[in-house]
Amino acid sequence: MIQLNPNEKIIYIARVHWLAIFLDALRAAILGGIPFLIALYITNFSNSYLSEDSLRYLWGSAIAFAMVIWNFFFVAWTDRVLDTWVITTERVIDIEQRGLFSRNIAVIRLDDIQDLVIDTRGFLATILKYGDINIQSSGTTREFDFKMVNDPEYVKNVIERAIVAVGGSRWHR
Amino acid sequence: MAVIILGMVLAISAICAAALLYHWFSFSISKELTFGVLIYLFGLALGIVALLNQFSPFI
Repeated sequence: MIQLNPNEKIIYIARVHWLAIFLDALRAAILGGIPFLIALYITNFSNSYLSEDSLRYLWGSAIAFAMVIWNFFFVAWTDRVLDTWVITTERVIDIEQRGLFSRNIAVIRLDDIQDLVIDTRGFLATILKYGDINIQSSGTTREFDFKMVNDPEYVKNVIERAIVAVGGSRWHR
Repeated sequence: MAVIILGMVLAISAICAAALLYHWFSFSISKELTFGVLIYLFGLALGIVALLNQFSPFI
């Protein structure tokens, strides 16, 4: 998938925090569960008489809708899981999955990194250790932005250490 | 009607399953996919069986 240069090694692979996937799953469960609740209500509590065929259609439609949501959730899940920052000894590779068949890969050399900004907002983000991380570069490449990354402080430290290792003098403290 | 619903769901499922399996086999840096793909396929099989069970009198 990624062609590494000779002597280049992967140091760390940053991924999205599990909470982002959990929230997607929660949304999908609520959305997929609504037709079942309606079908359950109509089957058990509605006074109107429905034939067996109608009930089969009702429950079949609820299952079909849930299956569509199930598929869409896993498309979103694949998107989340395959969105990664691969930090190597020479560069940061931003792999952005867009849907199932589209992917955007951007590369920034460690020498070109001007600034690293992490943004951890709120109580949950602090205790669960997730946040946004942004890389500003000296070049004209597109902005490097990773939302809800797992342990942004650690990712920042890894990148800073990698920059120092390649000789980024302005990063020495 | 049942055949149309079943056909649409199976078509969407086939596309998604094929794409997920493609990523599973090709994306070598992501071993996290394995667990998710197995859960996905299990849920899919369960859904198809339930759907066929509901619509079997109409097919």
